[in-house]
Order: sequence, then C-alpha cells, then structure tokens
Amino acid sequence: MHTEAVITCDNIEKKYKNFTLSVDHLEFPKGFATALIGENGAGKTTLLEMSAGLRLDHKGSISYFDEYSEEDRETNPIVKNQIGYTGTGNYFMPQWTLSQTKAAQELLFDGFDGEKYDAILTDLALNNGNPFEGSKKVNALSDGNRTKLMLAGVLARDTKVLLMDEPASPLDPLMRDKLCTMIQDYIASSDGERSVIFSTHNISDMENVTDYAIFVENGAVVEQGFVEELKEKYTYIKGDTEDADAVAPHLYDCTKNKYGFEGLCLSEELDALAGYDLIKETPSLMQLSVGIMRANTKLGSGNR
Amino acid sequence: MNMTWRSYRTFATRRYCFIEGLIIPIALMAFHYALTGLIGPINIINVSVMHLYLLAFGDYVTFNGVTGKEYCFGFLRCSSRGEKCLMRAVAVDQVMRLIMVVFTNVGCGVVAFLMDPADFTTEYILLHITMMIWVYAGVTTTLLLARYLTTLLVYGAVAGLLITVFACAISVGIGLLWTMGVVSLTPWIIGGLLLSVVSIVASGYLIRRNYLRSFLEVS
Repeated sequence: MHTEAVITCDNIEKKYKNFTLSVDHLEFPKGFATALIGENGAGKTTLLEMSAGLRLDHKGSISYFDEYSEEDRETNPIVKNQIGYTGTGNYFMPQWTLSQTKAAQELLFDGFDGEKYDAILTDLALNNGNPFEGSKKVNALSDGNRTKLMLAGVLARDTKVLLMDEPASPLDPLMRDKLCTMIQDYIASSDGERSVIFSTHNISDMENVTDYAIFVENGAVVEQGFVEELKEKYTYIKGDTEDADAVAPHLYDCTKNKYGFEGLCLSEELDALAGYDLIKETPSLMQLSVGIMRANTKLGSGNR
Repeated sequence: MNMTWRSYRTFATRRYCFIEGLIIPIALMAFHYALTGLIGPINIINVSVMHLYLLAFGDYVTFNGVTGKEYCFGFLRCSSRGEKCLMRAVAVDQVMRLIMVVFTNVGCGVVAFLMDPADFTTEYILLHITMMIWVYAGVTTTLLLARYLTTLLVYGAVAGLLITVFACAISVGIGLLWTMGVVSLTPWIIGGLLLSVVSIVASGYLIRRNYLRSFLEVS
C-alpha cells in the first residue's frame, strides 16, 4: 500500500557509548497509527525524541509533512505547533501546579484550546470540579495521571501528528482502552491528515489501534509494514517436539519446550513445511512482535 | 509585555508573588518599626540579612534546579517559544527581585524617617542604598550556585552557607566597620554593583546554556 509520509527519516545515525541508532530510510505513514515496537534500549525513544526535535545531535535528516526540514522545525513555529509530544520523564516541571501547566500551554502553543483541555481533564477524571484542584502539584500526581495530563495537553492542541513515548505503560487497563479510543478519534477527526506514532511494550492492549508497525532492534529497523500485510507475510506455526529439528531451519523464529515448538515462518516458506503435522495460524501482533524481536535480539538464547 | 509577564507567571505562582512581593516586605517593615525604636535606623542591616535569606529560599519554588543537568525542560523544548519563554521569565524574575528589594528597603527607610526624622541622616540614605545593592547582589550570586541543587536539604545547606557569607560581609564589613568609621560605603556600592551585573549576566548565560544543552547528549 502506498501512502504519503508524515515524517521521513533519512540516514539517521546517533551514537552513544555502547549503542548506535542507525536508520537508512524510514517513513511514518500519514493518516495512520504507527507503533514503534522493540526491546528496552532498542532506540525507540531516541527515534521519537529526534523526530520531535528534542534531540538535535544526530547525523542524517528528518522531514515533516513532505514539506519541512529540521531547520524549518527550529525556525518556523508552525512545525512544532503541529507536533504533539508526550514523553516518559518529567514533561511538566514537577513543582508546577495544574493551573501553571495550563497557563504554560496557553502561552507556548498556538491553537491550544483551554476549554477543550478542561473538558478532556474532566473526561479523564483529573478534574472533578473542586475549586482547589488547580493548586495541586504535578509531583503529587501518580505516573498514570501525569500521562493523562500530557495527553490532555496535546489533544487540546491543533496538531497534525502525535508522538507518544510509551503512553500506555503507566495507565490502568480501562484507561488503556480509552487511550486507544482517543487515538482512533484523533485520527478519524481529520480525514486522513492526522497521524499518531507511539512506542509501546503493551502490544496486546494497543493492537486494536495499530495500523502500521515498525520493529526496532539494536538500533536498527528490522521489520516494518501495515499490520494486516505483516500478518500475511508471516504465519504462526506450532508443532510437536519430534518435528522441531527438521522444521526449525525453515522458521524465521522458533522456540521449543518439552511439549513442542512454535514460531514464526515466512508465508512464502510454507511449501517447505509440507508433510509435517503442523498447526498454522495467522499471527497476532503480539506473536509477530515477540517472534521478530526474538529473531533479532541479543538476549541469551534460552529455549531457542 | 503581556507575554513577558505570563512567561514569568508560568514559573512564579500567585502564592509566591503574594508572599515574596507583599507579605515579606510588610513583615520586614513591621520588624524594622519594632526595632528602630530600640537601636535606630542601623537596624536596616538586620532587615537586609533577613531579606537575603528569605529571597534566596523563595527561589526554591520558582527556578530551583534550572541550571542543573536533571532539570526537565521537556515541555518547553516541545515549543518553538520555549527558550524565549524561559529567558523572559528569568529576566522578569531578576527585575521582580530588584523591585522587592527596593520596595522593602525604601519602605523601611520611610518607617525610620517617620519615626525620627532627625536621626535619619543622609549617611543612612547611603547605607540604605548600599544595603539594597548588596542584598540584590548577594541573592543573585547565591542563586548562581543554589540553582544547581534540587534536594531541599542540600539546597538549604549550601544556600544558607553562601547567604551567611554575605550576611557576615554586610553586618561586619559594612555595619560594624562603617559605624566605627573604618571604611567608606563607596567601595561597597561599586563592588555590589559590579557583583550584581556579573551575577545577572552569568545567571542568564548559565540558564540558556543548560537549556540548549538539554537538546544535546555526549555521543
């Protein structure tokens, strides 16, 4: 499927002491929800922060909306105004009150809608109409409530792309479900103009909302595509222990235990598995993610 | 102007402005009124030392940690106006602190003059000016270091220690030696002005450098 790109990364390289993020070419599709999936330390946060303009010291180039360069992002206020970012660390000053966070956002972002912000906070049960609520400090909020505060902030703005680093992690299951609805509503509200890019480890919870998946391992993009296409590209295989050694070389990823084996297989390789007694299934995004991550990980091999 | 003030208010709450800008000056004037009757207009030295502590500790709720590596500029960095907002807020903070010092000092001067106009000589006007300058210089210089510290206990200890150095300089160097006629106030005024300018420039530079550093990482 050909789509326009909302953010394009070219020849990106970012070196740390023991880690290098290296991306030759990456396009985040416009009008979709894209999940960045990978192990801890794979480079997801770095990639998101570079895209949001929070990390400037890297090689390569990033372009926005097929129109703006990184230089434009720093000089033309329109670009940053159209990017909403929520992170995992201290986004708001911890000593700030809720009133200050609202005042600051009104000051810093064009198109910030204070009434909409209050309405979202009420919807997320952060604002209960208590007259002293505005004096509550950010550092008195739980991690989940801080994430809600960030979400309310970016959703109350007139943005074209949301970059969210681990938005689901601190949230309870009910709120994760609501987050998915909010992402869907955000994308649906703009006739294909709005996009969401998020990193996540909560793949099952976010599967319903994920249109496109990018798998990052050891600082490189190892697989990407629309979820439905990836589900066609790979098949999930289960079999008995006695076939494991014969089948394993044909599998993309394989894990064994005393009851049998299971793993991902490229669908085009299925012919090679004819004659074995296997169960073939369409993989879930979770199975795809685990399989792709396991095939590219540096973690100890365990049962593989 | 509105944007500049709003930038400042992003960091300084209404409660902070009310306490530092009104309650503390009035309390210090009342203290000055109470003691001037006993020891005369020289009590401005005690007031100045107290004001030094109160201003330095008040900063803990506004710009605390702003020059430290761990300071979370995350939110400001997401906006193209982030740097401008921060630097405007810092500039207004400097001006507001100066206004608070001048307001308190002039208020105390008026109190002393009304209590005994004959006792409030021209020399005391000069002493008030010297105190104003040194309170301001003392606070801004202390904050150069204290704004690196985020833990209340460490902040309290270091800021307290630095302020104590200034308090000693003021009470001994100016108060004692000046009343004994050993030193003139002129060098103190010049020194205080120089220290104020240097600390204001250094403060702005360090905060801006830390903000820009937050976009970079050692590779």
